[in-house]
Amino acid sequence: MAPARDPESTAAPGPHVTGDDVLLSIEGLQKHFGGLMAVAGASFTVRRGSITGLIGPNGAGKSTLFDLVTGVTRADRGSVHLAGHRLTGRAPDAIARAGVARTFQTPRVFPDMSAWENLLAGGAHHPGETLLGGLMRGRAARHRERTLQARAEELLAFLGLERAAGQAARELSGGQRKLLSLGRALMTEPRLLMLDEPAAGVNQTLTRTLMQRIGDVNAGGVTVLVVEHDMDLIMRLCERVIVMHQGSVLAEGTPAEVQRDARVLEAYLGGAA
Amino acid sequence: MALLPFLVGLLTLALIYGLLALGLNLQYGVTGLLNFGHVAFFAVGAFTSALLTLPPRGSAAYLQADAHYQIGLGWPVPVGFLLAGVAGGLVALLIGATSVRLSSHYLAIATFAMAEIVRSVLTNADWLTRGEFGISNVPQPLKDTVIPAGVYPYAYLAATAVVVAVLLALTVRLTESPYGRALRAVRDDEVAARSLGKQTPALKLGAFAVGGALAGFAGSLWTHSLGVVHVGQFVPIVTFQVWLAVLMGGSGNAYGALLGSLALMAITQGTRFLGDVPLLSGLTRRNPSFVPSLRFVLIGLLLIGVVRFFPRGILPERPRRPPRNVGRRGSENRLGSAADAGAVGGGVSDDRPSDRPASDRPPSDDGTSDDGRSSEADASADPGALDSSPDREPR
Repeated sequence: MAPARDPESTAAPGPHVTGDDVLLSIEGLQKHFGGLMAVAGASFTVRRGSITGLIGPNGAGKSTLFDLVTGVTRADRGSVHLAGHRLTGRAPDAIARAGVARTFQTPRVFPDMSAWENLLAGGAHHPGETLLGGLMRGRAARHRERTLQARAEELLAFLGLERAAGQAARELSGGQRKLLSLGRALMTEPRLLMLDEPAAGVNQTLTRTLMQRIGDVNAGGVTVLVVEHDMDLIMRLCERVIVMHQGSVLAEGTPAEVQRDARVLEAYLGGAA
Repeated sequence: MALLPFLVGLLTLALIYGLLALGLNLQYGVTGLLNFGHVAFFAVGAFTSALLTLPPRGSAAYLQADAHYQIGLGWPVPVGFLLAGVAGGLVALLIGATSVRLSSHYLAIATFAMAEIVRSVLTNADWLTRGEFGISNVPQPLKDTVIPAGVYPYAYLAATAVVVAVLLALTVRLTESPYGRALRAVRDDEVAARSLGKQTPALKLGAFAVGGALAGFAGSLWTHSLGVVHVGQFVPIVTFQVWLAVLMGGSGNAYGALLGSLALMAITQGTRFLGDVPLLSGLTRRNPSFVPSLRFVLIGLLLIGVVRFFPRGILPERPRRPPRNVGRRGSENRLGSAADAGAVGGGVSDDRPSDRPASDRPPSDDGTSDDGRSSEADASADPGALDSSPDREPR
């Protein structure tokens, strides 16, 4: 259950927050919807530069946890810190600008915009994105636009979406949308990339590509937290796995450790729990 | 029937409505804001421009016109025009600040109610607007002094065309900028836009205010073209006609908004002559309200027809393509850039599954059974192979 102390009152960062190797630290996070405790005091950390898997049976609270970290939903209690900076209570866009990018379980592309524009829209800190900046298009805005276009072009190639660049995103296949939303999240140049079931509904070839790309991105210095039901993917990609069950963390360890954990098997196979 | 003056009047009106549509298109077509109170900004602009430019109370012109209004500043019409836009924008900013965070349908209700409040205030503020009587000697710039009354409508049309062209160019510049792109992102999926760090409330408020400013400008053009301003001109049907223009022309496309206004005016004004049609004129004699009612029927049928046959409008918004040079660089360059993008460790050439156009695919790609996919992935193992595809010119 949740820790008894009130995390709101911890002015100083807790023990999880400090340490150079921790990027994301979650402490006593709680959220209930009516009578349902979706996240019941979850605490864990994500190491800087790692690929961490977040698994658990349906309804374990993984997606809610994503929403809490990214500010889409407000936590009842508990705290989230990114590299020691508190994220809890901040607006979703502020959290994104702090360096957290995410994808959604069902890819939320911008349907009436081209794939190309979808990517460019991901670019953060654009001086041309204000009313006056857009009208004036000063040197800084033009320079930023060129930088973003170059990056978008790289990502189109990186994700194999070059031919789809001019197409409206609504015309893309499900797999392409997944890739596009991954690319769009990468356009923000995140420190932490949170992927919600990137491989769900994607064919095997594309899953392999996705895994490779996630690995590539991570090798480029981005920390990845991934929710996924594809155990094969989790076991091969992640160096650390966190298992959630009924809103809290059930087990944590390397893929091999977690796989051997009796409680995990019970939770998944529906034992006496 | 004098065709030419009729056409000149129609075009002027179409341009003024085009400006209104341009504003609504920015709000709804580009940003997705359901504004059902557009007429309020139009009204605010019209009254602002009129009151600022009317000859001051007690002046010779005032006495000569036997006027009764309280406020007239006698400022030049261009100043009135500019401040009409400012006023429209400020009122939109004020209203938007309280309601733009509402989700779509609630915003529609709030803006509709707001427009009625504005109209009610204008109706009851007798000292300001002369209420239902209105003000009938709004200055028409340069009329009779420089431009003879006979050619005045032509001159006014030309000036209106220039003003609308300039505002159109500015609006297009805005929507084709990164700012416009961010607005479209808000329209398409606000949650996703926010998750990318976009300050969506500020973006929505900005678009709402600029749209209000454009309507304010339109109000100024309108009142000086008529020389009259009264509250009865600013009824909700104006808002809905602008909506019709935007939807008919192509929501999200500024040119479509103008085209839609032209079509709308051609229909609403053109149907004034229905009574002259031989068969219908017989019916009119027995029932005087027959033709006016028929016009509404026609407009309704038109709206149904547009939604049925042109759901995205006559000039639909097109997704913005990348610049021509994108994707045509050499393969070495691309491989290099991919490595930059994410430190690709040797695996870049495997598995390029999504190079096929979407039209070749089943609509929903849940496929584990797509056999062609893997062989295609092998075939494109060399990233340079992409450049030899037929629809791409060799460099």
